[in-house]
Amino acid sequence: MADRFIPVDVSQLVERARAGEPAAFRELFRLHLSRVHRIVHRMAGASSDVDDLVQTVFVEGFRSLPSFRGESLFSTWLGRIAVRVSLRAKKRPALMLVPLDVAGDQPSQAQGPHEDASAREGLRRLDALLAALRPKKRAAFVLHALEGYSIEETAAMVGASVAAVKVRIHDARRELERRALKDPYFSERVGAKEPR
Amino acid sequence: MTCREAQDALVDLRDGRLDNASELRVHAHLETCGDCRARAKTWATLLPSMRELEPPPPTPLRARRMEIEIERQLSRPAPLADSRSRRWQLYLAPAVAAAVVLIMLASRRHQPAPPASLVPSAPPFATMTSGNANAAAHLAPGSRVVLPAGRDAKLQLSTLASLTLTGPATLLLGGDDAHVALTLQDGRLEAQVAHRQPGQTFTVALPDGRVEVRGTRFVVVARPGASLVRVDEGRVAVFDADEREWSVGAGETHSFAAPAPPAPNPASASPARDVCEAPAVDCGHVTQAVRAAIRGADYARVQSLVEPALRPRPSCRPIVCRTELGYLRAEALRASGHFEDAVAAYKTLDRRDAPSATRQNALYAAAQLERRLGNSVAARADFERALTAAPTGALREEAMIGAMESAAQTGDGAAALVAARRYLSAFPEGLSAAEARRIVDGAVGRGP
Repeated sequence: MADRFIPVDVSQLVERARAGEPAAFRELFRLHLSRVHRIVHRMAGASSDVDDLVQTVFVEGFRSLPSFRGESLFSTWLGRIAVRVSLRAKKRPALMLVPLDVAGDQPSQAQGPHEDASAREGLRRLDALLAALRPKKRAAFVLHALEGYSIEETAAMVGASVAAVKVRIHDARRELERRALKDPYFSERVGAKEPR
Repeated sequence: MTCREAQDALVDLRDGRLDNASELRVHAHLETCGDCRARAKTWATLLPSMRELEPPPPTPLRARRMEIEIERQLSRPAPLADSRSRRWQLYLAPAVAAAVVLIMLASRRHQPAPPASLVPSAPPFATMTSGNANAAAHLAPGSRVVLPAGRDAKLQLSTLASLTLTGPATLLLGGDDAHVALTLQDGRLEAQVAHRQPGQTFTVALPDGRVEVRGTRFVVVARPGASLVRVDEGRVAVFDADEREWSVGAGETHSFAAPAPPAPNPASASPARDVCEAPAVDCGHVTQAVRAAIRGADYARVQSLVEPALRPRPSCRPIVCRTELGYLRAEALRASGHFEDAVAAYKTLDRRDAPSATRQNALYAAAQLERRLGNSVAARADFERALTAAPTGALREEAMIGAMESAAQTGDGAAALVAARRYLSAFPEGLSAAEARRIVDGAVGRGP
C-alpha cells in the first residue's frame, strides 16, 4: 500500500497521457504496476496468466482514458478495471503452462533462505484461502481488508451497493477465519483458539 | 451496536477510518462482548499476517517486457469485438431512446396506481399508542397532539424515541427521521431518545427556548415564562429564547428565564448570563458540516468551521460539542499530513472534563504519530498518559505495547523491562507477549 500516497501529480500525468504523450503512459504504468499486480494476483491467484492480465488492465485502462472523468482517484478507477479483468479471467480455464522466459525470471528476495521459503509458503496458503472464496466475496475482501480501500471505494470498484459489499466482506471474513484457523501457517500466527 | 456491526467495523477500526463516535461505540461493544473481543483479537493478528504476504512485484525485466507489450498493443487499433459492439451501440442507441420515449408517453396517458401490497410502506413518523380511546394512531410530521387535563399519551417515534405527554398539553410533530423537531407549546413531555447518529438532531422547541439532545432521557415542562428541563440521563444542550446556550447534564434542572424586559436592570440579572456574549454554536449543524468536509478531504473548510466554534468563550459554559469538534480537528490535521499540529490537537483533548475513553483515544493517537515522527520519548510519555486516562479502557493493551516498544526504541532498557513485565502481568497471552518475554529474557540474560 506504499504507492497509495505518492508525491506525484497523477492528474497531470493523466492529462498528458490523454494527449498521447508516451512518457506519461510509462510513468502511470510504473506508478501503478505494483498495486495492479497485487490486486490481479490476489484475485486470480498465482499463475502464469498474471502478467498477461496486468498488461490487459493497463491496455484497457489507457484505451479508456477519455472516459475517465476524474470523479475518483485514478488508482481507484484502474483498480476497478483490474477487478473486472480478473473476474472475467476466472471464468476461463487457467493457463497451466509457464512460459520459459517467465519461469526463469522469478524475483529474488532480499530475505534469508528460511524467511524466503516461509513467506512463499504463507503466500501459497493465502492464495489457496482466497481461491476458495466465491469471486465476488473474494474481490470485496481483497479490496477492503487487504488493499485497504474503504467500503464505499470497494463498492464503486466492484460495481455493487455498499450494503451488498458489507455482506460479502462479512461472509468472506467468516469463511476465511474458519479456514485460516485450521491452517497450520495462520493458526500458528494467531496462536489462539478458534472463536465461536 | 450489534455484534455484526462491531465485527464489520474491525478492519476500518484497525485502519483508523472510523469517526470518533463510531470508534467509541465499537470499543464499548468489545468491552462487553467476549465473542467479538475474541474475533477482534484473532483479526488483529490475522489481518497483518495476510497483508504482509504480498505477492512479489514483477522484476524490472518482467516490468519492462510488460511495458513493451502494452505499448505494442496500444499502437494497434482496438480489437474488432470492441469496435463491433460500439457500432451496435450506435445503431441501437436511437432505437432504445425512441422506445423509452414511447414508454414514457404511454405511462403518462395511463398511470394505474400500483397494487398497495407492492408499494413498500415507510414506517409512520410517530405512533400514538395510548391516550387515545379508539386505537393506536399513526401520525405524520405536522400533526398536532392536544390533550386535555388529566389525560396522557404515549408516542413512539420511528427514530426510536419514546415520549410521554401529560395534559393539558399541546405538542406539534415536525421534522423528519434524521432531524426530529418537536414543539411543546404547553404541558409536560417526558422523552427517552436513542443515541442519534452523527449529523442527526432531535430538538424540542419551547415557548422560552429549545432543547437539543443526542441520546438521553429528560423531562421538559412548557409553561410560558416558567418552562424547565430536567435531565435524567446523558446531556442536552438548552437554548434560551435569546439563543444563549447551556449544557445540562444528568441530575440537573434548567429553568428557562422569562423573556427579558425591554430595559433590563444589570444589577438584578444573573452575572453569568450577562457576561456571556459569544454567539451560540449549532453543534448538530457544525459537526455534520465538519464530517462532510473531512469526507471530502476539504481540510481548509474543516478549519474554517472548527476554529470559530472552538474560539474561547469568556464567561460562557463550554459548548456541548467542544470535545467532538476538537477530535475532528485533530483527525483532519492527521489526514491532511500535518502530523505535528495533529499531535498538539489530540493533546488538547486530555482535559478533565473530557470522557476518559476520548482522552485515551486522543493520547494514543498522539503517541502513534509521535512514533511515526521519530519522537519515541514523547510517544512513550503519551502512551503512559493514555493508560492513566483510562486504566481499564479499550486501548489498554495497545497503550502498554506502545509504551514498551517506545522504551525499547529509546534504548532505555530499564524502562523497557518495567513496561514488558507490566504487560506480561496484565496480558500473559497478549498480542505482544513474545516480544515482552524477549525483552525480559534479554535483561535477565545480561544480568544486573
